[in-house]
Amino acid sequence: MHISTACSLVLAFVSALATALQPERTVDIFAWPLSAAKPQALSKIGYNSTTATVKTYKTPLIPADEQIVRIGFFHSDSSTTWSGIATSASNLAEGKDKKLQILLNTEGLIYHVGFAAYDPAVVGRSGARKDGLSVEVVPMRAGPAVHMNKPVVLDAEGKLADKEPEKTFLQKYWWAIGIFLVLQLVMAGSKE
Amino acid sequence: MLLPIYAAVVLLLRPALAVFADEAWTVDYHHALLGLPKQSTTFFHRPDPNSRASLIYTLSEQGVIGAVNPRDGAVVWRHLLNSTNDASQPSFLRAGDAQDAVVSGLGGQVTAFSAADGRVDWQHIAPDALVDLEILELEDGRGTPGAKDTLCMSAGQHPSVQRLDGATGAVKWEHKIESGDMPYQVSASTTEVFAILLHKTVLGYVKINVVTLDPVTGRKTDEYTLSSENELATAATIVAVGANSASPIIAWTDSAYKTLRINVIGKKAIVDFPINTLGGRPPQRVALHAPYLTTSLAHFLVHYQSLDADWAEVYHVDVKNGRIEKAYDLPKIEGRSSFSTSTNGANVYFTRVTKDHVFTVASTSHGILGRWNVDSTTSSLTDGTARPVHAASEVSVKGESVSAVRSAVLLSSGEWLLLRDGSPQWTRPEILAGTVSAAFALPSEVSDLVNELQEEAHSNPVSAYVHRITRHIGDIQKLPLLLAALPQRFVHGFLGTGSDGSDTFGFHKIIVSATSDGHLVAVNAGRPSDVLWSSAAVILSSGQVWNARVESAAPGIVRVLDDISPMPTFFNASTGAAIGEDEVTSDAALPTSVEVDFTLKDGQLYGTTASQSGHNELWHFGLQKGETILSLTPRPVNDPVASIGKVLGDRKVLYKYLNPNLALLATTYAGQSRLSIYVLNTVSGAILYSNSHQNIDLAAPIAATLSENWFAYSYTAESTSTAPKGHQLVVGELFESLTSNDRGLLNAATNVSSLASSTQPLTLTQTYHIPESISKMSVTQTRQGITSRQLLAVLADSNAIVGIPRGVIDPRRPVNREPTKDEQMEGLFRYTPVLDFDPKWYLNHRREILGVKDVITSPAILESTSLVYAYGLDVFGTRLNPSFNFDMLGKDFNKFQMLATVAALAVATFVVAPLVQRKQINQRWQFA
Repeated sequence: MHISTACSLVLAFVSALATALQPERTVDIFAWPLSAAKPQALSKIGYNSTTATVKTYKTPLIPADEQIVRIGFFHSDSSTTWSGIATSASNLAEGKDKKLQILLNTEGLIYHVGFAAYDPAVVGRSGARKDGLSVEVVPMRAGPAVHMNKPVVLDAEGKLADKEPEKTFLQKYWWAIGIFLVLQLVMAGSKE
Repeated sequence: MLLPIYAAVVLLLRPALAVFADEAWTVDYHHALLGLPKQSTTFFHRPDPNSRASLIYTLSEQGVIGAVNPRDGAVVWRHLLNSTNDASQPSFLRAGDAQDAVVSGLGGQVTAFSAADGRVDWQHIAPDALVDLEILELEDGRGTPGAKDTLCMSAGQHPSVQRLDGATGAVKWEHKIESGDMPYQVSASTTEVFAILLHKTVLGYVKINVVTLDPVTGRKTDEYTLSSENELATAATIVAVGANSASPIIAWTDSAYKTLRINVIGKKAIVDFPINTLGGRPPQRVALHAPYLTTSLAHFLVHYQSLDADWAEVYHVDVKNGRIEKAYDLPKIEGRSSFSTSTNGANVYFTRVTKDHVFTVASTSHGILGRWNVDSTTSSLTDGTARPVHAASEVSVKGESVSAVRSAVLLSSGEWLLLRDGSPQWTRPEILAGTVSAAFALPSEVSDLVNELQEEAHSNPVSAYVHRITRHIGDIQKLPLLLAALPQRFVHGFLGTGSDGSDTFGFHKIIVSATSDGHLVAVNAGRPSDVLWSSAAVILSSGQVWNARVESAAPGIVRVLDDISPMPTFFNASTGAAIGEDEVTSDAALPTSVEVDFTLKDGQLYGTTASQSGHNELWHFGLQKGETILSLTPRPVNDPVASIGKVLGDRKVLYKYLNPNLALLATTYAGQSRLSIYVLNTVSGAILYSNSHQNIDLAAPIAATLSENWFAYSYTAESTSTAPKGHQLVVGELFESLTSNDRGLLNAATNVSSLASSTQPLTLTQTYHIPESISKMSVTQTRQGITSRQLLAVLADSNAIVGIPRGVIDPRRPVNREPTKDEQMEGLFRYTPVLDFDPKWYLNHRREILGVKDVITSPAILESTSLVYAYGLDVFGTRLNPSFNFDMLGKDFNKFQMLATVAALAVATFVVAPLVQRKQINQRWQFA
């Protein structure tokens, strides 16, 4: 019992350490109004497999009659292929709480982005934010696995393993004895 | 109090039966197809030498070997030899004379089958792809008296000729061809085996090299070269290399078809015959028909085919001195005709099938021994829409005359027709075996009325009134016809015999299929036995495969998209006539103006929108390094959903995430055995759900589908340290929120923009072990979407299709605990890790559906019913009632009993009425 707790603590520490030691990657996110010829830099995000921070954020210049803005990033290995989404231009307005999602693949690399904007009252979630932009890491989920039934465990003789040994009287009712003792002490004290 | 009743109802609904026993062979239909037969691999053969009964054997372009009963066209046995469906691959089928064996060759595999029942006798893997296969007819004294040996020639790096033992398939000898020449064909006479090789000269011409082998040892005894240095440009003008004849011949022409050059193999002399065009156009194709038996007379027929006519010449070979002379001509006949050879003992007969006649002549003289008219008005051969492509014939001889001839003719419409003395006995729609895409056409009759009513609604009252009056006058003119047909309709309806042609329930939808050889074929889902129409939609060069997609464009009209023409072409679904795009009124059910389009092109997925500066890229799904797209499944365009939520046991509602712009994307990584699944919003490009499975067998099929607010996919997982290799099915369902009576951020919004909204659906998933892999998935469709759905899964390994009820794969099934009372009321039951396919789910029941590639579904007019059509090689269709046929009377409903009861009640009323009246009067007057 204790050993496992200690183990899990150590593991948690090691994993936290590993996360902390992970090289931080950065990605430049752009905003690209549909009518514009070129994308504009929107933000620089630093991320690792679990957390992300907004390094810089620049409010994009969007023409007043523009309705759609593309948000995305250029692939690191190519300057022309990009991944990104389309969102309403109103979502990038000043007063909104904007949330950028960094979708990571199994290797912890960004493969897509997501974007959401809320009216300020709706959301109070914390996040690494800067000027109304927060960022969230969405790691790739492992595919759902089959929930297997509990395996039947047999002992060396091929019989069903014994049930857990019953707890002793003291293990079961130590709290009752404790209360009794405390009561006794208190009663004894009050009598005096 | 109500709870047990609910529970009882739910329990009653639980066993969602797929097929009722009394519907099994009536609502469903199945064409057990072989594929288009090839001329060289189709013949009549007697499986039992002692009996005169013969079967037709064929190895089709689709790689199916089978035997067909010539009496009724039923398949006696068949095997799918390759599932790759590469029609360009050479294939061979030979049968030894008077033997219960047929030997097939496809790819690098030689297989001998028992001719009577199709059991595999032996298999032999050749060193490389086969070039030719022959049965060695010679009796060398030492050979086994039973099975005859097989010769096979293979190409590749180390070409060789092998002699295989007829009984076991063991290699008796192998002759390696080390001259570097290209192996072409193998041939055998009564005493020698010849390997015909092609030698490429420096100038790029081809020379024919003949190597003579000893049949017993396989050693080379002689070698000589035919044809001069610059005579043959390609091997394409070699007309034929005869095999297994008393004196095998090799014939070739020059590329302009001016001269025919013939050589008796084994003799060095070449005889030239100028090609006589009989005053017409020069031939476009020259073919040679010779008997395949060493015991037959050494006579052969040369068939010339020009653009508009066919003629033939018959030649005799003198076996002793190898002299060839022309015996007689067969006259030129306009229009296509096909020739076939049959033998009876030593006699050789040639049968010619034209548009309206069947002639038989003996090889010895030009006198016509039998002549029959093709006497059917219904056949597509006689009405001029189809022409004979090739034929295989069998003659019965009585004394000097031919008493009967049976010809299995492949028509250009893709039908395989058997003519017995000129009268069609059966047809098999073999063209459907090459279906690459199919679609249900929307019924057109209903839409006509809708259009007329709309016209009345949108014009001014006076003209609308006039329009209505004229419409009613038109309707009244149809009344006498309707009244005359009424008694017959009544009788049919009462007795339940046959259909009257009307389609009240929408079961008679037209299915239009595009086939790989460029044809469009239509069948009626209600009367599937006959092909409605068949037409060549495109002209393809040989070996080209038509990659077409058929879609329903408007009522009664289908749209065909292919890689040949940039614009879609339109066809009338009931006649097959091509129509212009301007005549197509766009379907009201489909949105007319598309704001956002998404495209999968060159392995890239992106969304575009029309703007001033042409098409603008709206979103882009960039693939990772090594990632390839496996499949993209958008939500069906016509996917009605009756309820926007799920009613829980406590009468609360869980809201479904119903977005019409969903697509399921499956990708794999090269060399990583990883499968990734994404659910995309196709308007904004946002990823709504994603996951990644490790350790996947990518060679096994991966199927995926998406409907309503749920998706399903299946794959085969490799074994791990904790689990063995197995097939798994994942089902996911998207909800607006997982709290009942709550729509999350959407609140009461009725319209949501994919771009402006920030809602993310919540996805529940569950995975099951399934007994076998699923090669293709589909979902049933009904008119309003009220009926529960079934997930249709094609099981390639067991040649079956199962319909899995949606309730069984609900991702909300409780895991590792019993369901609560509320969950029970809702119909949820405890999760089990293994999903066994209930035998009742099999739609095909006892049928074996070979080679299915896809399943399409369509709603009928009845809400309870979904039409299902599966194609690929076999064609299978049925009607499904996932929630039983609640809106239709079953077959067990006794109309006679009901009418008898009504009649009896009427009679009883008439009889009893006076009695009651008298009693009432008496009551008033009698005071007792």
